[in-house]
Amino acid sequence: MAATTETPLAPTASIKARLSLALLIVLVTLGLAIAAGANLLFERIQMRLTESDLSNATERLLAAIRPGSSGPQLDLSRLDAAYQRPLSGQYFVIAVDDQHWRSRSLWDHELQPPPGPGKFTHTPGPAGQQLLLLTRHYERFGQRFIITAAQDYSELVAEFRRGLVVFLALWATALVTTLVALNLWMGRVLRPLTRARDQVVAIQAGERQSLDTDAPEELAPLIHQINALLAETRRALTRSRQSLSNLGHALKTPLAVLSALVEREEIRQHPSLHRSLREQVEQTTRRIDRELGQSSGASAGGVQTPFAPARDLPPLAKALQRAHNRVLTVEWRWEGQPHLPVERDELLEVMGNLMDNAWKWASSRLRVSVSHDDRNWYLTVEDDGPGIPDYARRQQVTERGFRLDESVAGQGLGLAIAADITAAWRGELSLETSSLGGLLVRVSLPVTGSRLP
Amino acid sequence: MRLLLIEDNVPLAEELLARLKNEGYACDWLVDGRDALRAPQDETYDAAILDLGLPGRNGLSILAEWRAAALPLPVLILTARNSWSDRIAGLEAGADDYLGKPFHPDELILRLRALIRRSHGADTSPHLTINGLSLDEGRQCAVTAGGTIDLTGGEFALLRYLMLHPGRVLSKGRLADHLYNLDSERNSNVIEVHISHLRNKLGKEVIETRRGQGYIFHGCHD
Repeated sequence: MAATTETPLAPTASIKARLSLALLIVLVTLGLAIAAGANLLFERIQMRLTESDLSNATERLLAAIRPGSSGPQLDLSRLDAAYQRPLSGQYFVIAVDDQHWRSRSLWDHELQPPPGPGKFTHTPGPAGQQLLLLTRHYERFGQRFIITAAQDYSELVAEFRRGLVVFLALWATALVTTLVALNLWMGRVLRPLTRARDQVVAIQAGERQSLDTDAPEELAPLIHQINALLAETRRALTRSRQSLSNLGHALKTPLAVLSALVEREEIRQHPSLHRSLREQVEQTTRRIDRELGQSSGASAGGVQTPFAPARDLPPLAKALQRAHNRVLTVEWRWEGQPHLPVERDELLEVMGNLMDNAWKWASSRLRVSVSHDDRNWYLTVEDDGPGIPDYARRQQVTERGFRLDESVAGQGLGLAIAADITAAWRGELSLETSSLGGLLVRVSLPVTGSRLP
Repeated sequence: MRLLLIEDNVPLAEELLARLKNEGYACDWLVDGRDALRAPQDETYDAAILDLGLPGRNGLSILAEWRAAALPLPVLILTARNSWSDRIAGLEAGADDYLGKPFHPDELILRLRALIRRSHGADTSPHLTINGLSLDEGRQCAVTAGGTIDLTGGEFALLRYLMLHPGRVLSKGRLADHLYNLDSERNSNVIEVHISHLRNKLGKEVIETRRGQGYIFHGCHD
């Protein structure tokens, strides 16, 4: 196949992926920062509260000390019931003289009193509790009381941690949802880009001429720019083809003069000179004819006339009959009124060259058929002449880029031009042996009918 | 044979005129398309060689107008535009043959011979053969049962014209119109001289003279 499809470069990074990643980083950092901040704040507030609780507790414990018959006594009824419940989280130890009053809640746990008074200390408590301790020294009833109160804060911290986990879970869910939504939304936002890309592919395949201008505000200038570029390229291409075509045609008349001059008697008297001049004139002519064959699409000013065998081929046969001054039986084979999506002039050039060859070699008959399947149109030209028995030569004649210098007058050039045009329409030309005995040339053209630029 | 050459490239036209003269054709040459449009109506031509890219008027439209005026003149188109679609367009506009530039001059001569013979209903075999007499146009000689007879250019051109109109009375004036360009040639008794030479070379009965009317070609009936 002639079409050169370039493999797209590995994308450096998709916009979608980049946006998602940025958003992910921002949201995760933010979530973690909020969680850490909340944690810190909570702990501080909690400590403060606990500290003031403890402060109050020592005061209340002091107030609950009553003078009794056998010295000061602790009036339990004036204290929080939590001190009576084992491992309730509220504890005290009061040291007076050599006695130690312990809250019942402590059960068999020993509170390690802190080294000095008035300071808060943390210490592990019973049953994995975290205790905050405060020890104060008081003088009352002439005695010295060392009151140590403790409160567990692990439960609150655990509670808060649970809350935090729920918060983080919700946060993560929100994050995932946002990313999915972003992806979907980006897909929608980027759809015009995807569409533009598909249209560029279609342009490359020759199925359309320009991009749809119906695009979002941000994309529209790009689309317009691309369309302008395409139009300019097409104009430049048409111009250069046109000038190639003009040049080719302009050279033909001086060549005709040369060709006539070469046949003058003065030159014919020098056979080797005559031969080389004639050779050069003919080579130049072949070269021009081949280039013109390739640029023959130039004349079409954008509007394509489809090739209709029933309309276009019989006049061609008439022209050939006139040109060769030879009447042959031509058998036409097609069904209905086929129309091929290929520029009439160009396919006429293909068929003209093929039938011209056939007319040259046929002994009496020609068969021309047009058919198609889902993928291709097939055009065949067969004759009952000698054909090309040499398989290698057959291959050579249809090879792409088959050199003109190698083409022997007669067979080569016409086939080469036909092969060039066929390749320009992304088709193929092959040579086979006809059931009529001569050469069968088959041209396959994709039904899409797109021409290389 | 009198030809009308319509070609705007002077060097090409000059080469062609020289070659056509050698082949025994009398030629008129026009450059401008507008002149070409009216030319065949007041002159007697046996064929026209028409270039398409002409100043003044496009060759195809000239041809179309000739055909619209029912002018039967055989026309050979000579053009640089020789794609098959151009050729078909030319033939459909009424051309009888189409030759792409550049061309070998021999090719033009062969096409022209065939064109003129076809227009007279003669076959297009290598030799023009009428009533037992053959004319080798390439070598400009007559071939009879007795052998090959060399002819001068003037004799050849005259004999060819006679052979393409067998059995018809051709006046001196008509022969002069179709064979000569210069008034000096037309006014002299050159035709009588050529006729007598031809009779000497081919036999008296080949060409009959009708006093005051002209000449009739009969050929060799043996």
